Amino acid sequence: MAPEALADHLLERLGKRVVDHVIQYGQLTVTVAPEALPSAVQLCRDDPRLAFDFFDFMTGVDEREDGFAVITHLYSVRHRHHIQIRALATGGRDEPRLPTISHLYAGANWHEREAYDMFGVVFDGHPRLLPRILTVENFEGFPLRKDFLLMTREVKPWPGLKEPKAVEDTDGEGDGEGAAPATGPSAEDKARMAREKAERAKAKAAEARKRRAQEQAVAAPADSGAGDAVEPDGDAVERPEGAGDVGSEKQAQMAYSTGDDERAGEPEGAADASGEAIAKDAAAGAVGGDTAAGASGDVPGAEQPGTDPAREAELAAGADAQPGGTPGVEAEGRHAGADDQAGDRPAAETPGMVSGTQDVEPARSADDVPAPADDGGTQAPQPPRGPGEEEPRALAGEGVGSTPLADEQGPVVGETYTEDPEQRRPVGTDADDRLRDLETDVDEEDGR
Amino acid sequence: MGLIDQVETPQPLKFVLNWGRRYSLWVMNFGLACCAIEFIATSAARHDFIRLGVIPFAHGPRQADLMVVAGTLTDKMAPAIKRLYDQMPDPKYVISFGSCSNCGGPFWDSYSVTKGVDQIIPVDVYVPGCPPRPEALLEGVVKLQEQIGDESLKQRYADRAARKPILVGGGDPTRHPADDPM
Repeated sequence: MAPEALADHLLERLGKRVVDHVIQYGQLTVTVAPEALPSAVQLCRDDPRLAFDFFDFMTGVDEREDGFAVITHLYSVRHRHHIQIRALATGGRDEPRLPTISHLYAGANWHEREAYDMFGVVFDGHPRLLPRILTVENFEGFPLRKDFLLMTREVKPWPGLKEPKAVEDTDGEGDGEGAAPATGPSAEDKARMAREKAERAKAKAAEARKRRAQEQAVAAPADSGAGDAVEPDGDAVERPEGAGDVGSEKQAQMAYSTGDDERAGEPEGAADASGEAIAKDAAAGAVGGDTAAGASGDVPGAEQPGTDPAREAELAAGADAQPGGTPGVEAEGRHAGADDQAGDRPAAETPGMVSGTQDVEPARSADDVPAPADDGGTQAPQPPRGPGEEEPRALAGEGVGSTPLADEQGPVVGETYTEDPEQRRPVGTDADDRLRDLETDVDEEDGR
Repeated sequence: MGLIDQVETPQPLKFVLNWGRRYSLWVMNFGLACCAIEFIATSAARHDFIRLGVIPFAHGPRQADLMVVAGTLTDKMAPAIKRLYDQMPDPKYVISFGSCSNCGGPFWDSYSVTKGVDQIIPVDVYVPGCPPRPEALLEGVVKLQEQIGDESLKQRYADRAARKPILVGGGDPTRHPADDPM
């Protein structure tokens, strides 16, 4: 039964016992009066049109001033529909009570014990709520209540939104930054975070500008050396900026409202690595880097206040964002333990490239890529040919004479698939290398 | 407990007895959580700690020499692990496998997690990681075997409190957690 039909049926049968109902994510949640919980659950179980024969789980919810609610999730194997029955326990926060349903579903027994352990909701009629099932038997308090004091976090407060420090910072500011404030991020932390967000947004805009410049350069035969396509520099690297940026907050907001968050760094990075190939593919009708293009299209060349055009031109030309080559804030995308990856590439390349597109072979010269077909677009989108290949390569999963779906594009754009086994890098190569290193270490230690 | 822990055995005999003890460690594996999977992976074909003499088929704590605590130790489980450790006959060794059993790990701030199995039982080898790679467990076993090869049981029983645990991967076990930045 569809959730709406379920709701109607239940409302009809339960009448006044239903306090509320809501359908979320295709699933019905019915709130019933607390004393009516067993009869409602029994109806769900026994009514042949409902036939909820499977008890999924029961959980408590701390509703703050309203007390504690208990949600019972039932499923019908026969009819394949779900329902959640919610009941707000009587007695407020001091003495929450609900009637038990453990006589209706055997599984509810331990779930009610868990709800008692965690929230303190007493189920009248339950055979045995004590001894406690999940916490230690002599545990005091009910842990999942919102007002439960977690002693370890009283002693050492939650550090809040702290970025992992870059390695160079540890000597100077160790203690000052390390001590977590007692109440979340302090005002200066928030200012710093806002500044960093603004700088990231600016870097992304600069990178979008760069990519557009690149695509324009494709029209004229560019000197497409291999090193050119793989952008080594600050895609999303901090630029040294004055602390008092006017409108930096606004920029951050703007960047975020256009959907440009850190995850958008990935498709943009992919587009960068083979920008020329993408331009040709786009012409040929392949879907590629659309999100990146779309994202850049949102801020079409808008000059943002507080940016330095000379500096940006420098960056677009490929200069190092930070002369020292230190990883910027975007390096948070890589964990401190990813030493192998940092060591393989020069430091300037590392920041910001969260995706593995740096492993991609650089885009080939413009003449390798097939000219856009002008048969009115009926020809299927084709991946770029490798050097020396005559026939267009078949898309993955495409048989003779089969028409690919409109959105099927075979290999992921930005990562070129090649038939040549030497050029193809298998997935997980880095992991295998690391494994090999570890294995040799053990052998050396052994010495036997 | 017999002559062995009262008398310092002569070197040739000690060598033989140690050799026998370290190359037939029967494991009472105490797999509690995700680290148990890595323990099982270490016992499987690719890494295989059986080739080191570590045999995972102990029928129970009373037939085991080595206990590998792999996973999060909760307060509710703590008395059980203490009881099982006590049921193991001497000489017995403990490997703490994984971050949770070393120090509480990622769940150190929970209301129900014991911060490290060494609060309950003495530990000989700490294998850090979350979860540690199987190779790390192999290294821990090898280091433990080296230690057993050099040990004198009289010393071991005499100064139980002065035992120095091995920390796989190096590091300073006396480092105080208050000095950690996080």
